[in-house]
Amino acid sequence: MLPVFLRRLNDSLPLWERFRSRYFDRHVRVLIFAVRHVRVPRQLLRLRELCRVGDALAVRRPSDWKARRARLYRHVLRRAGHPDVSAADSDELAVLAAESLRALAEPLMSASQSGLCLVLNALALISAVLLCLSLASSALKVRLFPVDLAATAKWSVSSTFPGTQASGVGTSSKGPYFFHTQFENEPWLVVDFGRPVHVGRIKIFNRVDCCQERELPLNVESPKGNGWNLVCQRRSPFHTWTCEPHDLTTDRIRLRLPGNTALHLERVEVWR
Amino acid sequence: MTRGVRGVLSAVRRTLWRDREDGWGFALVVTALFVVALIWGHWHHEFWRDETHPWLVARTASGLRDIVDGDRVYDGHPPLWYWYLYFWTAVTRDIVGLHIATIVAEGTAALLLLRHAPLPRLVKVLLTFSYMLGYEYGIMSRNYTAGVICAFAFAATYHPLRLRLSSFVWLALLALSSVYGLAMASAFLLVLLGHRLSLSRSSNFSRTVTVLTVPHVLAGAVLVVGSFAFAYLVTDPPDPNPYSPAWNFAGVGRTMILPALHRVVAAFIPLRQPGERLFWVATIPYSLEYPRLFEKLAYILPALALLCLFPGWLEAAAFVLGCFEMAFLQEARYLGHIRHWGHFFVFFVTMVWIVRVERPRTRNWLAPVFLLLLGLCQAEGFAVALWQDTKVPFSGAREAARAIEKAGLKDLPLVIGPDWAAPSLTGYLDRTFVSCETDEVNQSMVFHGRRKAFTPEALVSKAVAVARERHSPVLVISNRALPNPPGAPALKLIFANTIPSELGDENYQVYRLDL
Repeated sequence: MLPVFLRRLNDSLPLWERFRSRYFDRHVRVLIFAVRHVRVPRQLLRLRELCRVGDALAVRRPSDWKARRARLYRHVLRRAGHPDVSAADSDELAVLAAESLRALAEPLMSASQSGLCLVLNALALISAVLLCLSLASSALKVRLFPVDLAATAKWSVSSTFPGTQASGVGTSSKGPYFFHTQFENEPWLVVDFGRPVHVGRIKIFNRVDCCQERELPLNVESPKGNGWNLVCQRRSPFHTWTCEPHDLTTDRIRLRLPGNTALHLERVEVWR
Repeated sequence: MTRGVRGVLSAVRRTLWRDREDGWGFALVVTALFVVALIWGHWHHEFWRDETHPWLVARTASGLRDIVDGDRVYDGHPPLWYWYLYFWTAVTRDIVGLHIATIVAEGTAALLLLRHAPLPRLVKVLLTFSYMLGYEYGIMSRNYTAGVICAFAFAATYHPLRLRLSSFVWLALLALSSVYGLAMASAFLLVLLGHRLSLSRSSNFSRTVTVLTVPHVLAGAVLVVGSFAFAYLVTDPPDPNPYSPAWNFAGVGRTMILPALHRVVAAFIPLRQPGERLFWVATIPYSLEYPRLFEKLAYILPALALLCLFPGWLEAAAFVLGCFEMAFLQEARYLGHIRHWGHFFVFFVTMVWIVRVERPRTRNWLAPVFLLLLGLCQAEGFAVALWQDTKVPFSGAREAARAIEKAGLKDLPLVIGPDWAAPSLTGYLDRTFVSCETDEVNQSMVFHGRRKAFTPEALVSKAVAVARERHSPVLVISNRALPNPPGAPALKLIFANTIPSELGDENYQVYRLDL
């Protein structure tokens, strides 16, 4: 059994070598090149600025502008690695300078592409590793693939508008709202998880078809003794609002409007 | 001897009138003096509700996005200043952070002016220690400070030949500082692109220009236009209410020009009389004493300002356009006070700066002389305001907060009304309060129209309800005397401001309610 495994391992090594040379070494080499030539972008920017000044000279035409412009472009060409340029006209020099700058920028572009490829490859590798680990660890799985606690929670409301439900399981709907209270003083919605859970994020979706301003101010509360404790409050109009309680473990949350109005929401999500 | 004195005088004149800096020494020394003045002013300045409100919004925000679509949406200001304060609240939640944030911002603006503005040193010193830059945007803490720093940074990065992306970035940020910043940014953008256009219209426009600069301009223009659109979308409050009224075009027309020119005079010459109360809203005190002179100044000062921009026709046109935008906003939306009108002055200083950068060899002697005279008037206003602010408490909030902390009552539930009087106090206490007008629990107030009218009786009954709900004594705070609750123990007065504050409506009475 063992020799077979070792033989297979031995056979696979050249494959790994090939993979390394193709996807890893090449990118790393290019990156090392980029780091070594970190001065290039700075030089490139400086030479571009000089070209721009040369162009402006042609437009504004101060005294001796032609000679000054030609001197500038020759300087740019010299710095870009073309010391011997035969062109005499400053316009020709301008074109040559632009082309030489473009050539100077090419390795940089190639290095950026390689860097991007390397980052994408690394991200893909990390994702694959995390995926594998999450299959083994349930804690990691919960972190990586969080579950909406409200999707299976029971809910109830203070009153019902005709044709709407007073309670149910799962705080979402395909319609504009999953519940609708009467117009009353301090309407509320209670979401009951059935057991104490750690709540890290409560995402509330307002109905989008109308009447969003009715849901203000909206309080998110948790039980405290015989009463309720204010966790978050929303005072400005919203389509979606995320309340992030600090260290909250509770078996219920309550959404309450302090004024005389009606409460109706499209969806409520509760995440660890 | 005479020759020696003349030599010294000449050297002093040359030093004071030198308009190009080749090092940081002068700028750093004057900025240090300015920062000392600011620290002294802040030490004695008590924040009022207008100043603490953005700090409280930033302090209670859950993130940068919450600042965009949270309580700020009712304020009528873009989010830049709130974002800036949000980072400071990460350093400290204490209100001292607001003092530091303001000093840092205005100190930086002064440093940019002193180092980069091509104006005589004497003028720059007077402008730095001016009423507008020193007091209104230096000691008073407002989002307009962010506008000053962005405008000056734009001018500092402006180059007559090289079009820098950083100039566009500063314009984009300027548009996000305030609606006045938006008006100024649109005028500066006109100058920037106008000069670029004048370059590109030449027949010698070479291929290199096309290759190298168009992406640059395009990226910058997209950034600025995007910022303008974003500022427009996030600034207009969704709920017109008494605190941020809706558009009103009734006063827009030819008749708005003269009042606007009066406001320009008030901003350019903010003379203050020593011992004057309400110096921070005293708009044009001398207009009543010398009405004829004032009427003439309304024509003379703007005309001189335009002459100072000569021969920058484009800059002059942009200046007129920017001032018109500001006057339009004042007439159609919110007339404002001297702190809003001060943008005429900041705008003018920045435009002169740009003209002198654009034409370094053109000597317009009028601009420095005019700015020198304005600077003298501004410095007088700054000195009086600083002195007055140190003598009289600006708001009674700091004293009331200290009294509450000293009595060990800071942790009791707070019920404060009217709610607009609360932010100054909660700013110092770092506590939420219950509002009887909106039923909200917040550190600051939100300027929406979903509120009941305030009455002392409603405040007291809310306090009773909160005390019953929380089974705890409650602190009831108001800027007026409160009646005792019916059928409940009497309120016990534990503190009242004794010295009348500069703001007449921020003298507090703190009661304790025990059920």
